[in-house]
Amino acid sequence: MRFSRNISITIICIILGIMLSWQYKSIESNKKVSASQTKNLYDLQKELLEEKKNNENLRARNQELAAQVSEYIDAAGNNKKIEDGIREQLTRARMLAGLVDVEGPGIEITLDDGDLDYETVYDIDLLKLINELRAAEAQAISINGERIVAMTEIRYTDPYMVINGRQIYPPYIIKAIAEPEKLDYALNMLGGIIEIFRDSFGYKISVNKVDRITIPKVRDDGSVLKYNLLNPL
Amino acid sequence: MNKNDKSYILAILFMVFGILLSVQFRSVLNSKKNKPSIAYQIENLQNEINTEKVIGSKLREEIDQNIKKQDEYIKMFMERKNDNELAGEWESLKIAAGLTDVLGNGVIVYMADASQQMGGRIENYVVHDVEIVEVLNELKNAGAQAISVNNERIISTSEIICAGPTVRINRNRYPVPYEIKAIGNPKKLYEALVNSPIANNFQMFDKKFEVRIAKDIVIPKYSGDINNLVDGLEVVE
Repeated sequence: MRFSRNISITIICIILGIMLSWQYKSIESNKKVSASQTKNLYDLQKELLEEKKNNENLRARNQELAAQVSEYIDAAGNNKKIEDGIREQLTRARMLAGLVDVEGPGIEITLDDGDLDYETVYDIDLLKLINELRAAEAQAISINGERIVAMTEIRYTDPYMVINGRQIYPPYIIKAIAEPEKLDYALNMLGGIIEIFRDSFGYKISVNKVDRITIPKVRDDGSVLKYNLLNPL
Repeated sequence: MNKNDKSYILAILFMVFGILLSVQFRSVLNSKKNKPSIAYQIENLQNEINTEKVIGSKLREEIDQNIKKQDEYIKMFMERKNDNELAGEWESLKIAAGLTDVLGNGVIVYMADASQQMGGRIENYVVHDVEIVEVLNELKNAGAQAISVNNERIISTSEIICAGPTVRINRNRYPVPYEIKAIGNPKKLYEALVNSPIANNFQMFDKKFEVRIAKDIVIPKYSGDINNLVDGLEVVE
């Protein structure tokens, strides 16, 4: 009698134990599922915000374009006005493509290797610096007289840098033109990378604000700007 | 005495049962309360995102239409003036500055975060702005003539800079994944990327880096206002 009771209690305890562990597992997995769902939710909320922001930009751009088109319509007959508008547009495209020398207020950065062997400026450093300058809304950039355009490559091949297919030796003089009111913003944005170059990498670097800076056009011997494989639509 | 002993055990057993039951009940209640509402919210958000995307593509179409109209006015004017030189210059300038859609052969690159983290720091498993910059530099070095990232044309002022969880390109923001299209010599572009250190790095952390040769790739024009990009510049005669 007593023996059988003990056995039944043991069996109940075993069953309880199994249930408990199973239960515990299920709760844990429930938690995991809801955590991943919350994360998903958060990502989606962010994505929605980005889409809305992009659409706002598109809307603004569209309104601007519509205004420009109606300007052309309004100016119909007024050839002088239309011609001026078109010439302006041409000049802007030329400046953007890097086909003319340009000048304006800007920054001049001098970057050189450090004294130690391993303190060599690599292509990735220049790429980062150019990218930061672009993020700070620089409008024209050159390195040692080579205009940096859309398809400009920067490649380190010991002991020189190849930019626009031309060999460039240090020190690197990077010139950038930006709107005057955005210059300080640009310098602030560059602060972080300049500090890293100087303090962590041991490069020699100096940054100066310049009132008037000239940036040359891209070499126009046809070796930099090539479009023979592009078919305009 | 013997009987008392047994009832203690039973009482404890039932207490455990009771606790278990209540925990179980609460967890079920919780998951019932959470699951439908989260799933519901996710569905709602997904719908909203889709509508925004539709609005966005409509806006892009409208912008395209307006740019076309503007271009027609410019052409009309040039025809009237019979200025072939100006007309020709305008066409080639649009290609040089990235202001026209172009078609050609080349490669398409797909870059995305690793699907799971295998220890170490999370930064190793996501795509960084600098990595996109490096890929573009490899493509340019291999002679690419036109490049776009997520259909954003790369022009001389294009930044590729991380902004929170997204990457800013031409002042627009894009989340992962990234699709890079490049027109040039397909074989050269392909080999430059496959043998690059970036491909290696992506493989090491299980990040996605796929390069394929493609024919008749269309790379869209830069459709923003270029006046904003050059208004600080003056031409030197």
